[in-house]
Amino acid sequence: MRRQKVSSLAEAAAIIEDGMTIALGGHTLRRHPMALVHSIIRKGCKDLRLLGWNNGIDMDMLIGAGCVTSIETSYVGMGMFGLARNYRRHAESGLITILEHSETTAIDMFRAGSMGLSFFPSKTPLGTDMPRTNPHMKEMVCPFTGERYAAIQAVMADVALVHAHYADRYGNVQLRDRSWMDTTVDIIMAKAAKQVIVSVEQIVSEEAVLANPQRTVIPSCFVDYVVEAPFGAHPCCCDTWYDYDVGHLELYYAASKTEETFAAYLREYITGTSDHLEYLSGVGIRDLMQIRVRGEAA
Amino acid sequence: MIGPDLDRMPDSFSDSSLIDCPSEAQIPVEDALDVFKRGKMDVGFISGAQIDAYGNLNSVCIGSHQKPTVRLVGCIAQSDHAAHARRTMILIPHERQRFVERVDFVSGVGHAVNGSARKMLGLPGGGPSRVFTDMAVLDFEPKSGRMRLVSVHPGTEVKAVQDATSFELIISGEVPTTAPPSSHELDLIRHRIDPDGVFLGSTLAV
Repeated sequence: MRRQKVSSLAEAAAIIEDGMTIALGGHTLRRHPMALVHSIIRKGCKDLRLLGWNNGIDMDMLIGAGCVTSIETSYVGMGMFGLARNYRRHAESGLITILEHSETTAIDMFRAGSMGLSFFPSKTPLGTDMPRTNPHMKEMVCPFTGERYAAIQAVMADVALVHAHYADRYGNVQLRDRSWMDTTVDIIMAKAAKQVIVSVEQIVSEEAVLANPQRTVIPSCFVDYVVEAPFGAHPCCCDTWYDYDVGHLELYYAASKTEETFAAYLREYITGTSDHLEYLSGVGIRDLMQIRVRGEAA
Repeated sequence: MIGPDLDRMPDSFSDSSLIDCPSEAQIPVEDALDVFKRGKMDVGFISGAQIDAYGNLNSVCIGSHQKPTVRLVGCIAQSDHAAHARRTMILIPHERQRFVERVDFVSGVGHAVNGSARKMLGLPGGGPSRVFTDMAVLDFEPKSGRMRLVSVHPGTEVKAVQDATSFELIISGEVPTTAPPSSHELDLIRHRIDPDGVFLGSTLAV
C-alpha cells in the first residue's frame, strides 16, 4: 500500500536531532517554514548546522533560541527592517560559525547535491575572502580550457524544511499557478536532502493533484513528511495567500534587540505555547485576517 | 523578471505584488543569475559597508571574520555582480570609515586584490567603472587600478572629498564640478521613472 506521509508538526520535528544539518527554504522574509522552525525551538534542538540560500527571521530565530552552531548562506537580514539582531549578536560574540556564500554559490551547493554531483564550478568566489572562510570552496582549473574556478562542494542536508501552498497525503507538493521565480531554490533544496519535511497551507485530495499535475513542484518521491500548517510561514508572507504581518515583524524586531527581551518573546509566542494553533491564537485572529490576500479563487 | 512593465513598478523586490507585475517572462532565479555567468549582464549596481582603493567591496563584517565588531548581511549577489557584470556602478555614502585602504573582508572584487589584477584572478567581468557618492564621482586609473577623482558635486571641495577618504585618491589637475541633472532628466526621474519615489525615497545602507 502506498505510504501516507501526513503527520503533525511535532511528529515531523521529532526526526530532527542535535547536530543535524538542516536546509531552510524561503527567501529573506518570504515563505520560510516558520511553523516547523517553532517546533524545533519547542523541542530544544542544539548544535544545528543551518543551510540556506537567502535567509531572515528563520535563521535569526533559531540562532536567538540557541539551537545553532553554524550557518551557510548568502544573506541573513530582516529585509526592510535592517540587520538581523540575534544573528548579529551571536556572530559578534563568536558563538556561531558563518560559512560565506554568494547568491549563486549558495544555490550551486544545492544544485550539485540535487544532480548527484560532488561539486559545482563557479568563478564568483575567485579573489574574494569566501574560500578563506568556507572550507566547502576550493580552487580548481578546468581541464579543457585552463580557466580558474572555485569548486563549490555539494551538500546533502540531513533534513530540508520547505513551506508551500498545497500537498496531497502522499507528498505531491504544489504551488498556486502563478508561482514566482524565487520559489525555485526550494525545489532544488528538497532534492539535496536525505529527508524532506514540507509544511503546507492546505492538504488537498489526490484528485485535485491529478487534475493539475503542472502545479506539482516537488513530487512525492522527494518528500518524507507532509504537515498541514495554516499560516505556517507567519509572520513571513506566503505568495498570493497572505502578506507579511508587518505588525508582528516589528514586534519581533524590537524584541530581538537584547537577549532578555528576545527570551521574553520566545516565552510568550513559542516555548510558552504548546503548538501551532496556540501560537496563532497568541498572534490573534484580527492580525491573521488582515494579512490575507484577496484575489480570485484558487 | 524579464521585460517588466515599468509603469507598474513594484515597491519592493520581495513583495508578493511582483508576482502580478506584468512582464514578458518570469524565469527561475538560478536562470536569472546564470545570465551573469554567461556575460550577458551589461551593468550591475552594487554597494557595501566598506570600499577600498581598488574598488573591492565588503558587506560581510567589520573586524575579524571569526569575531567581528559588526556583523553585516553577507555576500548576497554583490559578489556575482562584481565577478561577472561587464561593468559595475558602485553607490556608497562618502565616509572615512567606509573608504579604507583595505577592506576587512573582500566580498566583491574590484580591480585588484593583494597585488593580483582581476584578470589574473580569473574573473571574467570588467569590474567597477564608476563610484557615485554624496560628495563626488570617482573612477579607476586603468594602469594602477586605483581610485581616481572624476568630479566633485556642487558645493563640495576636493579637500573635503580627500578628507572623507582614508587612502590617497588619484587627483590630476583641475577637478571639474559634477554637472547637475538637466530639467529634462529631473522630469524623467521624478515623473516618469520613479513617480512613487521608490528609489528617490530610499537610503543607502548596508
